Amino acid sequence: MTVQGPAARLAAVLFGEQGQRFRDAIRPVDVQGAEAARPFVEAAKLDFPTVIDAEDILGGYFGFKVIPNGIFLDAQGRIRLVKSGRFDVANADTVALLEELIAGRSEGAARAGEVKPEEARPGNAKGEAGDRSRAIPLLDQDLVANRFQLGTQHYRAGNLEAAFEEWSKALALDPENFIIRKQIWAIAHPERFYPEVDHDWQQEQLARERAAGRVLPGEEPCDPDRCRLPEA
Amino acid sequence: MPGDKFRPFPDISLPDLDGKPVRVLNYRGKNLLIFAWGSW
Repeated sequence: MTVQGPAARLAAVLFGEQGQRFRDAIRPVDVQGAEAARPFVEAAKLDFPTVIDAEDILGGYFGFKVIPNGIFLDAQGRIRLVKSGRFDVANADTVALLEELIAGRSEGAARAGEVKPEEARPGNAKGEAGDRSRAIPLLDQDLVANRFQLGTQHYRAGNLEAAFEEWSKALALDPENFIIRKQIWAIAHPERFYPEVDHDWQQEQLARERAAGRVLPGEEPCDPDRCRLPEA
Repeated sequence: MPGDKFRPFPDISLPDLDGKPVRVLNYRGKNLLIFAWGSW
């Protein structure tokens, strides 16, 4: 493998002499499933395992509201590092920290944007907004997770209206959850996600929604009984 | 070695791209980095 810059150091650690003790597992958060993730995996020529977390099980466990995230486990299967949002293996600080963990020179870190390993439980992960994210009540966390998973099941069954409604209700409980918000955008505005993701539009759309004082992505607020998918 | 202050990873299995279940804790004995990303 040939890479440049800080990523080369991590590759050397992962796949060199020390890397014999190390394997990567990559977990795409894709409600759309393996077929949405597969092109990216093949284009990147990833040679380590890729798994699909379509129901965002790990997101619910760690309270992730954004991606990308990093979780480091030691050889005993213990959580030693959780980084929520902007996790970048090309970042020099991240590489240095991982090298320390691999070498046993560090017990784990709790820096800005990271979750203390001993606090890795639902609702405690800091999102991309840093300390602006809020820990929602435990009961609501369960409701968010349940509605998200229910919405995913509707989506897989082709019931986009029902998926939109469940995800919208989940987002209303957890408005800083960008994983849910992006899933809603993806079905409400598919032209902004396929064949290519329009990240500029996402920033603009988020600004529009916040400027309008709306939690939910629809043009109209939800009725008391239901949320409607925006018309194409 | 650290004590018990670090939580164990939950015992979960997730499907790979071909639908085959992968149990994360089967990687015990090795360090493991999980990189969570999305296609959007």
